[in-house]
Amino acid sequence: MNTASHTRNEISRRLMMTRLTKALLGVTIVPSYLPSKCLASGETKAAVKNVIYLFMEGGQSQLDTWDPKDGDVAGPTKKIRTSAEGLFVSEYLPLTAKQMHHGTVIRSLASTQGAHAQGYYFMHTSYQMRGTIKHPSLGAWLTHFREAGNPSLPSSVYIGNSSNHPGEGFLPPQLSPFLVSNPDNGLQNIRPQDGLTVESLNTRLQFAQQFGNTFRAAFPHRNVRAQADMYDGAMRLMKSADLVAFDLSREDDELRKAYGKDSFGQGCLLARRLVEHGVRFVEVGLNGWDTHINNFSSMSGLCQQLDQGLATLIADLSNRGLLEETLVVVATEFGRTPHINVNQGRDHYPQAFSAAMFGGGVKGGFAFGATDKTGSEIIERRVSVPDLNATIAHALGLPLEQKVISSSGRPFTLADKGQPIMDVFA
Amino acid sequence: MVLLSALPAGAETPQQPAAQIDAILQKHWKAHNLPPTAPASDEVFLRRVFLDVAGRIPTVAEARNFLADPRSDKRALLIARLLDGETYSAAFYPFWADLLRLIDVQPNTQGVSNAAYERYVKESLRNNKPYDQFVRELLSAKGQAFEDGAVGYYLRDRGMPLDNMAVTTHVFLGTRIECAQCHDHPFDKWKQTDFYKMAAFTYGNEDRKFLNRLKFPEAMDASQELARADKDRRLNASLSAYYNVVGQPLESTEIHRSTKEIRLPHDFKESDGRPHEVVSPAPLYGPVADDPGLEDRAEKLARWVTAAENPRFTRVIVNRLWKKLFGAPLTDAYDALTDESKSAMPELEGYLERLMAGGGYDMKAFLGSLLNTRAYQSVAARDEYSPGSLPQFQGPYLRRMTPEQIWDSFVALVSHEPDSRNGAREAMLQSKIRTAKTASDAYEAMGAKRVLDLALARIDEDKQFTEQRAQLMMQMEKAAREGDQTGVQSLKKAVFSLEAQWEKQRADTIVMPILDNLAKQRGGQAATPTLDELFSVPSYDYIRARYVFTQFYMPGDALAPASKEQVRFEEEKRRSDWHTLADRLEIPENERAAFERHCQATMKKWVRAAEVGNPAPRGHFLREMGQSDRELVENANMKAGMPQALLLMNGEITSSKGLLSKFSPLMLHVRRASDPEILEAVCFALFSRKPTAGESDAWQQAKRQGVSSVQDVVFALLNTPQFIFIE
Repeated sequence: MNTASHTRNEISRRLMMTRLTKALLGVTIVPSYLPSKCLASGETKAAVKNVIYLFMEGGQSQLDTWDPKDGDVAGPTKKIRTSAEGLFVSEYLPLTAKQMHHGTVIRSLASTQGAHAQGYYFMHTSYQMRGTIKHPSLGAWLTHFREAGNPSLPSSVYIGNSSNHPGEGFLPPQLSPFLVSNPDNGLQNIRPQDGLTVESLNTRLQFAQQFGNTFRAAFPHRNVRAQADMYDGAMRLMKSADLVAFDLSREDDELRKAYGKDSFGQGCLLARRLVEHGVRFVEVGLNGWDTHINNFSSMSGLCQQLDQGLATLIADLSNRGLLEETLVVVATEFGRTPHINVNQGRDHYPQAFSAAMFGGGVKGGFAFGATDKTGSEIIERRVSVPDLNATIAHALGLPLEQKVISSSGRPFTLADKGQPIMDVFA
Repeated sequence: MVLLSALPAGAETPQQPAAQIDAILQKHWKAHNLPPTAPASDEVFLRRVFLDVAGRIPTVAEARNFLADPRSDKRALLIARLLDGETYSAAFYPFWADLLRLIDVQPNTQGVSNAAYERYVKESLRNNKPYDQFVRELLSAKGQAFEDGAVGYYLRDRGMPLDNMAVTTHVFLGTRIECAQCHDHPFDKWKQTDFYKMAAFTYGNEDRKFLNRLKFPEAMDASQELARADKDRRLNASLSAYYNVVGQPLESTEIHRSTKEIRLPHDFKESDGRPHEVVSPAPLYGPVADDPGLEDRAEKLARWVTAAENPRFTRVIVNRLWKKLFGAPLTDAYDALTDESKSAMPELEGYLERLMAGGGYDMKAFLGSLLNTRAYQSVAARDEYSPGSLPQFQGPYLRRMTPEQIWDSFVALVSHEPDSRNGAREAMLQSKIRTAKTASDAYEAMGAKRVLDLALARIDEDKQFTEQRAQLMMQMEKAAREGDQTGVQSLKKAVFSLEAQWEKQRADTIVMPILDNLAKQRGGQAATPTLDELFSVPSYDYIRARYVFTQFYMPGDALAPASKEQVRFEEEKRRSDWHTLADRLEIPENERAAFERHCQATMKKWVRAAEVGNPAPRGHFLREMGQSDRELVENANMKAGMPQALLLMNGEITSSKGLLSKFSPLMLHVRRASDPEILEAVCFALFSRKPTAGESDAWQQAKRQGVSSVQDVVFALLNTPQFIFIE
């Protein structure tokens, strides 16, 4: 008897919480105690639950990272051996080199977009930028198709500062990724102002609630109710035990250092914490890759941030047994020219560049596709940008063929016409 | 007065059309047996009309004055005053900026056309430019942005002429053809060829690429053929000194008409054309005005869109404005019209269209007519408008404030000068426009051919520099690799000094001749910045030459930046204004300095939404509350969301750094209230009215829970629906 009533209470509490979360946080909602969402056509069961998407903003040079070359096009950059036999990366990624047995490098990626905003958009959405519609980013698609891993937390988070992020596109605004500009500060506005406590806010809100009763009675509208409900959700989140997911101070100091004290490294650490707490999709941005000038002297600094953050992330996920269910992707808007310009720089090169994937069921120590000796042309197994996104979506078991109708009445699929590259999976 | 002079013949006052509108509505309600809501109180009317026409809630003083005004026509007088005031453009700018998708920056430009476009839209609002003229100017715009900001309309979508056309029919004709961009429209009658025929009107509108103009001047002579053969792009390096100064400010600032023709796409699959077939311009429906003398295609489009005979042109603007004031449109699908679109009240819609067109598209006159109706001045409808239904307007529909209305209302609670313009931003925009104008003059004065020769003469020298620098950088890489920090430092210095030497030489041989040349042409004086002045710009920057036009004033500049004396004068004037204000507000002597600091701080930070940026930066209060990112037409989001609640409760805006600042108008007003009057004082500041009985009861109860301070009450009332909804 007791047990039964306890269960019922538990369910109603969770149900209420889930409903609130849906209304307020905008999580696509199927409470986790209900049978999982029916698989839509084309959807597959997948072991991968989470994605950590590391985006190299500005256009990362593939030649100085994942696809190192010899000769003139290499400039001063050398290649080094990795933990995977026969697989080389550039000397600027010494720590990642030791983790390459966990990952696959895709060296035959090609984009059709050679400008930053357009390239960024294409990579994030699989569609070309238009003035008449905004397409959803992959994280928003995931949130659209899947229930939240943790109903009291957002299901996708973007740690970074690019204003180009397409966010939820035409999907409901509530699916917009939660924004963290500075990983050290965590969620914005989550703490009461000085001199106030969650309890004192509660009392004030009770007054506000009473005060609004006559108004709500006069206007029994949905949006009036939603306005009142958003405070319940906010209070719930402020009190939520899961907020610790955003608190990096709970991490061991040594580990924080290992990730790198810069905001990218700490962003990677935050990403891991969030994934542990049930956030499905975390993107971390690393800016500064637009190396038209002084490509090589910039490379060591940029790569050091990437290398520390990425290598520590892979090792950390692996140690915690999370790497199998978490796909780590390194991507960028386009690559850079093999030709070294007069400013010791490299210019935009969408024709042939690289991406990397770790964990999440991909092959370890594998290179997919190839470019020629100078890195100018793809000579093996060209991968389009929608193909890359379809591959990530496939790993997550998302329905690639399912059409979703935008508010303007047009049908779209999550990776346009992209086809997953099955060969990267083990 | 603008308002009266612009009314259509026969309509002497806005009351006349207002009465006509009310009569049509009455007839409709009677026929359908629908009772209208009761007349709105002065308090409700006041808050609503301020939010609609001034873009913010009224201040305490404004509310007191109006409520105490005994005149029987005080509402009409207030409407006229608000329409005539500066606040009108602050209130309506966000509305137009969302429709036209105004943004501050576009990649690879310095935002010159964006600055000019913003100024153009604001001036059009300030001057109450007739709507048809406004649209005609946008659609037929050509030339340089610093001469005519309207070219911003096409430059906004540079490189995307097809998208631009889809936006044009959407915004001005409520007609959605974007589906037909790739195939025949699945739900409407438009064919893909219809889309291309429309796009053919504007396909020739091209944005000039400045670097190409420079590298390949129209008449190249034999000595310049080297530029054509410049495979390793050495010329770019030699041109860059010039390009940084003159080229960059001019990048994407001009729309010119090319003869380029549009062709059907390579994958065209429909039956009424072939892939790659050239398409001639033709309108979606109806004829283009017959004018054999008219060659310009964009001008033809502009005339067709804005013609009195184009039924959708007037219908769309009438619905947009009606919706802005009444919370719902008359034709639900005004934004996606088809031949089947139904009007909730065809008679009223027809009358409003005649009023708009007959009144010469005078926006303020039209708005004045709507605002003076009994219908507008009624209690809000109890039912909720749901898109897709045919609204009956028994009262105006309840609306949530737009992000801009919320922010601007907060501005009025924090700042003592809530409607002041953002001087710093205006100066920044002005400087961009001026810089481009000077750069253009410099280019015209010298001509591309001479510039090219100057650059070609430098090519070998620049190559040497490049090679030397590359050498040094490679040595630096090596030193870094070997952990030789002193080596790295000394090599870094060597690179810097080499670059400085190089830059100086390039300035001497390319930049200075340009400046001298322009100065001479403008009046025979030498250029204002000498080479030494130029290099006295602090902070090292290897391309500092680009600052020439922004840092220095060239003789003959039309828009000179303010002189130091002017700036000082302005500052002193401001201080004296604050002093007077402090007197009026009876700020005690020992608090004057702090009060002045409050005014200083609010002047920069708490400016109207229209003056914050296009759009506000991400993370700004406005964006968190749902301001449009301006990527799509009308992309604001008025839905409630949890981050908004967190922001309103815990954000800086409601802290002692914002609304609760000791010297905010809000706090100066409420802190004088004695304990029993606190609720009344806060209520008046936020809602321009006394609390209702139910609200007072809630307060009595809350007091027993210990919610009693001014801060408690402000916090609570801000987070009620009474605040955020427009009753």
